[in-house]
Amino acid sequence: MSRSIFEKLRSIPDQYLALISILFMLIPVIYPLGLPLPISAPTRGYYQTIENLPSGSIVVIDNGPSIAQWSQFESPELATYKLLLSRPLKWLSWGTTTDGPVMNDILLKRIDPEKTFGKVYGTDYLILGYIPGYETAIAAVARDTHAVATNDYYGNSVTQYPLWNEITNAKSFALVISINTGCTNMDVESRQWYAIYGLKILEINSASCSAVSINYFPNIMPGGLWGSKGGAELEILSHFPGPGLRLNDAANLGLIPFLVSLAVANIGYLGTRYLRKEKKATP
Amino acid sequence: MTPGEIWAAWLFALFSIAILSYLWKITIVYRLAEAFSVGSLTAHVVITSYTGSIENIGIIPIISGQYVRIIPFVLGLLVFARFIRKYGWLSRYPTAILTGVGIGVMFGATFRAQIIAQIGNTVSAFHELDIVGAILTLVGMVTVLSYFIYTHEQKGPLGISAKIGRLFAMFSFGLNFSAEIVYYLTVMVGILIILYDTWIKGAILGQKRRLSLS
Repeated sequence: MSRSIFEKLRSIPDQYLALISILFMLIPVIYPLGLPLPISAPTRGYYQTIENLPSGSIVVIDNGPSIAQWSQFESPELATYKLLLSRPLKWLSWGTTTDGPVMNDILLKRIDPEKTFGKVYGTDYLILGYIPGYETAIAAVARDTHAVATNDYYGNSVTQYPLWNEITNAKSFALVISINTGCTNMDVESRQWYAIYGLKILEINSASCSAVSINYFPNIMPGGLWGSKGGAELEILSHFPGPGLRLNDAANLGLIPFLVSLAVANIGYLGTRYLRKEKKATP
Repeated sequence: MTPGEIWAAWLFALFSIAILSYLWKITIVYRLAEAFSVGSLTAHVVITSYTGSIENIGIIPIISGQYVRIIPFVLGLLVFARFIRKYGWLSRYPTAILTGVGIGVMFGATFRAQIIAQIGNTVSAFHELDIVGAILTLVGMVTVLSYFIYTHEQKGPLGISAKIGRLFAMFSFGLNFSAEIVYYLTVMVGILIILYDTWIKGAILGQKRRLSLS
């Protein structure tokens, strides 16, 4: 029995769809398109919050991305470090995952803060290693920062750094930047930093968590960057170009085959159902 | 590119293609890449956990005289007691303490951060001239909450409210799903960029390119 056009539409192999999607994504990878990108309110809030910090403020970064999600975190993290380093601010970063400080180090080596911005490690910024416990660790860092580390990420004693001596607990910080992968991340961060110490939180997270984290915008979380789109927006706002725009172009183009296949599959489903009804109605 | 970077680029490319072969079908190549990935990640976590936490928060402070830290150190070791059948019960102590501390740390702040502040967030939207957004937020919150009222039959006003609430919930699920798709697409694009920049242009064609993972 020959299949109807609708049944054929419904049974297009997944492999073809994947191949077409990859081909669409490859176009902007090879030839960057520079598609226009409007700046969203959370990104504006993110940028403004950092811009409005008084000179000499210390920012604490709860750093817990996953290197497996490199493309999600590369551009927002890179743009954030550049923005922080370009302003008269100081920051302490510590790992909520084992990957956090590794990625931090890789990205900072690319920026070269001393050469590019004249910022000195240990005076203007400091990277601690992984501190296990996640929420318990956040609570510990906030209560007594000195109790959670003896060495920095590179294995050197932290007591030799001037910035370490400026920090005691949550009261030393003016702002929290949370870079984490879980969609309940803002729940944890808001409990430990906002509810107890009243500190506002900026979030960097993967695109898949944007719909969850947005619940905290703008009161607890005055801004957020989700995935490469957030990174691309901050790149535009801060005038520090990075990898975000190219990634965003490719993701946008990769969506086209997905949307087409979604429409095709639905046409196939509805068409098959209609034909069956017709068949039943025919005596 | 240095010889080490060229090797790294080739390894990245081979493993990426092996994992992507899943799109065609599960083969021995895919399984090998998966096993390598799990093994190397485990090694990475073990090493960074040791240098980052056991050494940094445990061994160094104990050596410098903070003997109180021996207690969590011993508790940590007790986790491994589950591997010895006779002493397996000892592992319940660190688990109980971890759970207790976790709940204690979380519980006090939950009410303020997740309930009071969220109600404040809903109401404060009215002060920001975004009246349409504020009304939608309020209607969405009330109707979705009403959807979860099971102690009364959902008829009359409650039924209408629950139906509207279900619509809001569906919008939310759709938003979550679309964000998930964008996430996976971006991960894929990231792999393609590294393959194109680092492997094809850098390692194969020998062009001077910045390594995406350097």
